[in-house]
Amino acid sequence: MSILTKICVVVLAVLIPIACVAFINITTVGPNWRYAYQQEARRSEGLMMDASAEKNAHNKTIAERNEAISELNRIKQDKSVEIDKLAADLSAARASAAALQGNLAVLAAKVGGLEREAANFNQRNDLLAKQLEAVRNAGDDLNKELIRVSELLNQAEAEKARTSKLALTFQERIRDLEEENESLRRSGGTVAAGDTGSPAASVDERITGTVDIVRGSYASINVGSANGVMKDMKLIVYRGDTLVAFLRVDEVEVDQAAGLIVNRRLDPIPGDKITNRLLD
Amino acid sequence: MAETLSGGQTVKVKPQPDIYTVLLIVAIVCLVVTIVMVLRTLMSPVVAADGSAGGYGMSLTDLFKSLEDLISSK
Repeated sequence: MSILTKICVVVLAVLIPIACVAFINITTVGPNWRYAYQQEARRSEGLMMDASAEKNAHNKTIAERNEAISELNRIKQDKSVEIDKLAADLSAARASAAALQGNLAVLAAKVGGLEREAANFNQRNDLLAKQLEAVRNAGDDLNKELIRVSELLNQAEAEKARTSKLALTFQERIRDLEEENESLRRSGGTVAAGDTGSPAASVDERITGTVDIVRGSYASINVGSANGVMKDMKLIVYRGDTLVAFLRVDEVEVDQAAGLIVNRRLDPIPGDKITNRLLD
Repeated sequence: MAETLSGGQTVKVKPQPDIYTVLLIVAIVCLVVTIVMVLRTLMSPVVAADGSAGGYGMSLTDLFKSLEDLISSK
């Protein structure tokens, strides 16, 4: 081996490690520009996509804005028409209000007049109410007086009826006594000892009965000779407290009799009472 | 190397390795290791499997291109 070869070997042996260290340092320690480049490229693509999206959104927003502007213009025109219409309505309403104000004033005047009339009517009503109250009080007094007079009249009528009954009774008694007197006068003033069944003797018993049938002025009764009824006996027909008529007996049977209605005051009807005297 | 004996025969003798041979072998080994590490760095993917920065992702032909050509081609 020559000396030159030895020198070259030594130089290579020295330079190659130094170069290896330098190369390894350059390739491994320094920043990876390729990785940084790709990162930046990706970021740039993202930014480009974002910009595109933003641009689309911007265009969309501009379209919406234009559409909104057109819509607003249309609404503005509609509102303008409505405003004109409302202004016309307002003018008409003001005119109507003015007319109504005039009518209201007239009505207010009428109401004032009516209120005055109402006040007058109220005063008249109060006065009439007072007069009505006085008339009612007077009517009440008159009613009380009428009731009292009616009571007196009833009492007087009852007294009259009782007096009439007494008068009839007395008349009947007088008539019976006259008949008895006439019969005594005819018989010569003598009375048979066993003549107790004569009408005069039977008059002492009180006979009571009821009218059965009424035919014109003829009526039948439900008492007969068994009860003391005799021919030509004059019986009193009455209804309650009222004198109806007298019945003169023509036919006598044991349990019934019939006779002619005389001294008629009322029309006898079946059910009327008969008696020979009113008082026992 | 040859050595001539007394009988006229020539015997070839293998020379002994010296320090220079060792230095040459060491230099060659260092050079190979450096070449392997550099190529591994240059030709591995740009993004590693875990998402971190990897190598430069260059092909064998890219190793012989200029930087401008490399950027324009990418």
